[in-house]
Amino acid sequence: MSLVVNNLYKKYGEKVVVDDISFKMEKPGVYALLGTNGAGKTTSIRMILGMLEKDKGEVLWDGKPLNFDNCNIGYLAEERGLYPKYALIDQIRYFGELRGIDRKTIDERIKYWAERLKVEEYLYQEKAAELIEKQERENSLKYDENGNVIAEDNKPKKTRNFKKKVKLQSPDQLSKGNQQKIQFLIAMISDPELIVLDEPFSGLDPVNTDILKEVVREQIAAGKYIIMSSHQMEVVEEFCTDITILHRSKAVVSGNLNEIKKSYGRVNLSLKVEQDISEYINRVGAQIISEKEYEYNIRVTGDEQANRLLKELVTAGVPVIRFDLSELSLHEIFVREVGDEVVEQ
Amino acid sequence: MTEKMNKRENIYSLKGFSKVFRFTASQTMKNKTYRATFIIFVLVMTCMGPIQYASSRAGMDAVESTIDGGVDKVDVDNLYIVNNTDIGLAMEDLKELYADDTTSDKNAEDSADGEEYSADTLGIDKKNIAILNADEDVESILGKLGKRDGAVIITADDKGYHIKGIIADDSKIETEEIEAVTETVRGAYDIKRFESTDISEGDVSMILGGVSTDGTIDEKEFLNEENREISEDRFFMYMAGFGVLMFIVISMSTSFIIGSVTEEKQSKLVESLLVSVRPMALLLGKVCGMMTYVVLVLACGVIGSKVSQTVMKAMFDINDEEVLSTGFDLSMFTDFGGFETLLLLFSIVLGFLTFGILSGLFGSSCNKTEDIQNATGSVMIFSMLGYFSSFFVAGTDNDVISLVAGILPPFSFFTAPVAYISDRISLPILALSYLIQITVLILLLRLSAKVYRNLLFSDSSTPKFRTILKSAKE
Repeated sequence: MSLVVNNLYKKYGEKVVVDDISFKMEKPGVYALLGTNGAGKTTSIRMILGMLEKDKGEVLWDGKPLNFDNCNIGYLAEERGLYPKYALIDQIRYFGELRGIDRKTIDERIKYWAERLKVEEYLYQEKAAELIEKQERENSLKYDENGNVIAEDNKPKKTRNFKKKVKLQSPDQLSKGNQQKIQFLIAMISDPELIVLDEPFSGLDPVNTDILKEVVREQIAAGKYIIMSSHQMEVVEEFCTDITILHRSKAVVSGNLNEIKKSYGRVNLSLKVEQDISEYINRVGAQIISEKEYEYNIRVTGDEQANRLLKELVTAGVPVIRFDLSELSLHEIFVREVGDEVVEQ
Repeated sequence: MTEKMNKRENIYSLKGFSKVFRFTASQTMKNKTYRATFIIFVLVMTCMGPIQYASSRAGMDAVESTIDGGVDKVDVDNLYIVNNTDIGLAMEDLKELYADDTTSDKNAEDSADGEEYSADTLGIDKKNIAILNADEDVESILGKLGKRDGAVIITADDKGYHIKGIIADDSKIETEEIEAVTETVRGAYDIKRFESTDISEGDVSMILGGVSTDGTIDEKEFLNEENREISEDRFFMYMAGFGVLMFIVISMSTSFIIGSVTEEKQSKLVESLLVSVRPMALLLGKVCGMMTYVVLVLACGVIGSKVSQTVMKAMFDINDEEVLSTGFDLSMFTDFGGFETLLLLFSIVLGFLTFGILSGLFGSSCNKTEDIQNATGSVMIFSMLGYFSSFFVAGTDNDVISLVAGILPPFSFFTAPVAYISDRISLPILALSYLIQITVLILLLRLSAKVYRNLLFSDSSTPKFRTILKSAKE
């Protein structure tokens, strides 16, 4: 399997919104599409998935034009959407059936993913009832100052039909994060081979971010092809092997993340000493980015300048507690490539 | 080469249609608003007949009582009818004043107190009615009129016949009562005076029926009219009835389809949907799902209407004609054969699909809630054109107009089948009309396959046909 995107081009009127974007995924993993707002990420994704017509270019999956007939696609759109009043379980089943999955498999997968994503109480009445009962039980307990249970209010027991009478929350009553998890569930319902996640972590709290990260890791391990668009560089860096940075509809950086980082050289120096070393830093021509209690973040031109600084410090007898020379982070690469122009804009 | 490969995606594929259809139909049935609409519509259809019948009865009673002077029965002790003319008037001619054993058997049985008068007469005791000839002493009779006595004097001079009702100065008889008696005697006397000229009973009713005039028509039209099996009145009823039915079907679904498409667009649900189903299948599934709901509502409404008509017939002892005139007139489906009924149903489906697709296209060009009103208005203009055309064609009943309206969309959706079953257009013309209608539907489907996806992602906020066509060009 391979995904090949060749020379994607899209124009609205006179405005070019995607200009000659190309990339390739020859093995499973995560490919990141990064860019400033309005750079053309979502339009590119829509063209890749065949939702928007391409003015030029092609998208091939295993050598054939990509569409949902020849590729099982799971898509989490940037702008989340659910039918506001229809039952969630009906909506998920609908999407599953549209992907040609039989009802039994759909229900099994819903059960699995609901448990995994911790959204069972929004889908199943008995789970919602259990949660209510649990909350009521907790509220009925009385504690002493040490946190020990000292008494329990006697509340009438729920009737047998209670579980059937519990009303599930409608989709528009769910929090943004929970709506997002339901949408993620919908994207995963067909057990897709190509997963496209547009800003998957935005709006999620740390607990849910961790749940989703774990799922993404599992999908990578399962050999899925994942295209991810995100503004959270540290997350992208955690998962992606290859990236394309878009700026003003063009790809400004594209390729393997490690190769890209290497091409910028090792220019970040983190240094911890026990005295002021500004004089030595200035002497070798390096640039102090930040300094706090003799912990320096320094921008060097490369290995040679960093080694020169180390030699100066050793010669001067300055004790070096930490000397860490590293590559640019993805965040820094991104800002370096598009940051100035964004500020100018 | 590869670009050509990309173009090969079959945008007309209906894969996924059945799933969209099933989901739309089931969710519509589950929707509380649509359930309420369903119940209200069926109730209206069921109760419309009895209510219409009751109100028309009340109206007729009011008219009848106005004609009678508002009197059902009169309380008169003695009634003297003085006939000063040569035309004889016998007691049996005045049956509407009283009731005897032979004329009121049934009504007498129905009467609670068993008195011998019919519910349709003024209820005067026959024994107390005296018919006096011209040679009687009128003045002496008038002089002895009691407080509950009355007299009717019939005279004639060179200007015509005169009938006067007379009561005593201190009479307790109401003016309306003596007027009702005078009017009844006048009716009976009218018939007698025509009969006295030796003409038949049929001629008498013809003479009393008067003469009506119609507008001048040319010879060809006259012959057409003469040869028509379906009268002008029936044609009007069928055509207007079908127009109303079609309009109800379309208007019930237009706002739903537009609202539903806009909801999917606004909530960005389409992004998730369009990676699983193609636009044409998505739209057609939605329209057909909605059609299922509308058809179910109509079918239940028709059943309700029929049930209430049957109950009314049994309860009020009214005839078929009266039953048919109440409730929604669906006789166009029963007055003809199975083939004609199928044609009518086929036309409804065709019209529904066409206007449904049109609604979907307009809906896809909406971006804000306010746009929905504009889009609904645009579709409703098209359907109103068809609706009014059905009344125009029905009112004029002109073959040329029926032909033109039967061929030209959107009018043809509303008029063609009825024009055919009423013999206003021929079968080949109907076939041509269907051909054009199906072509319009296919063109709209092709247009939706081409532009629906683009419109759903566009931020244009002008739900006009121009926008849709512009999108097709792009």
